[in-house]
Amino acid sequence: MSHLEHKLEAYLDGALDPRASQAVEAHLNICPACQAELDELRQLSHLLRAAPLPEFTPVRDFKSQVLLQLPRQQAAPQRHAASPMQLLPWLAPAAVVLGWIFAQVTLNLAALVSLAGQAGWLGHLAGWTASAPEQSLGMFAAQAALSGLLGAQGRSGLELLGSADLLVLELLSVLLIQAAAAALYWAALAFVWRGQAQNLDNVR
Amino acid sequence: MNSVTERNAEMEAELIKRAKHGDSAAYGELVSWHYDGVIRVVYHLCGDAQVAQDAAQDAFIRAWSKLGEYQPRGPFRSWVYRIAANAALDALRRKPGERLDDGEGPGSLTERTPGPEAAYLEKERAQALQAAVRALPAAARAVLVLREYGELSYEEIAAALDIPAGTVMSRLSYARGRLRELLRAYQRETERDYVALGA
Repeated sequence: MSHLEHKLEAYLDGALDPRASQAVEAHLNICPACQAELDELRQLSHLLRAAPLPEFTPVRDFKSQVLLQLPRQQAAPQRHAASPMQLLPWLAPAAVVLGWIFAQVTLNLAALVSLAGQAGWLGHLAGWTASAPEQSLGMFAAQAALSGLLGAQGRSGLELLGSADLLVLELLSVLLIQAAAAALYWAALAFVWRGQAQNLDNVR
Repeated sequence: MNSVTERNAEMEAELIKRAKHGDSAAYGELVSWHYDGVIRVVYHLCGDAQVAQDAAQDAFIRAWSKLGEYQPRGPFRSWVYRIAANAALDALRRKPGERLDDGEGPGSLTERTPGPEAAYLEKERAQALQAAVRALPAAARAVLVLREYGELSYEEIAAALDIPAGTVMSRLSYARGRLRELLRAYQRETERDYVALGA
């Protein structure tokens, strides 16, 4: 066994950095046993590479055979995890719809509580809702700006409060319009994406 | 001869790019460039010319199908050799009587025809060595073949076979150690033959 163990083979294979190579060479200069082992390894490598090869198909014929057998379709390039920026066009409408639902529900609930307080349905809690008229006004304004439920189609908040069915119907209709807009957006994206995929197929 | 590193790396990158987009003519060029290296690797893994030829063909067809997965971070050559080594080992698995486990093989450097002619000695010894290579366990043989015939670096072999670089070194050391033992035994036997002929 060499004093240098695996380093001798790594030296032979050119796998050592210059500093380690110099250290091995310094040792070889003073160690005939390791030098003899290196010579034996070199002889082995020489013999291995000197082994005769049989006659193989010439490269031109081989290439033709391979090309004839190539399947028409290659594997799709390996997909990497999509970056947030790549996902943005697909996630944006979902985020908008979710945000819209949150805003609608929050504002409508606040408006309903405020109206209920003004109508005296909340008893001693009415003072709590009446204590912040500016906030109530702000909520109504924001809700109106978002084309919300109350006041839509000329109905008053009190009318809506009296009919739970009407309330749900109005809420659903608004959400349906927004979901339809998102679906149209996704359809447009899918159409563009499919067009790009077809162009790639044509290139092949 | 087989080294694409001596060729223009940009040209190879361009051919790969075109082949990835389905350009089979560009892929044909890549096949031509790497044919020598691939056939040498698979032949020394299989030890049978016809099996090697089929395995090389299989390897290039597989490589075409997987080309989309190739990442230019590593050399194309080691990526192709990896596929070729797997194709060769698969071909051996289909071949009856071939062992691919890590047990000791039955090979011996004494598998030679008698002949005192000095001109044939080295050729004979090299052929006998090939028999010993084929008798190595598949895992050690793959590392040895990729190093000696594929001329891959330790890192490239590690990437090609998906094993740590330390394992590459230990398998290579094992394979060489085994072959050197057999080589010494062969030399002792040759010397005995000469003594017997002279007596």
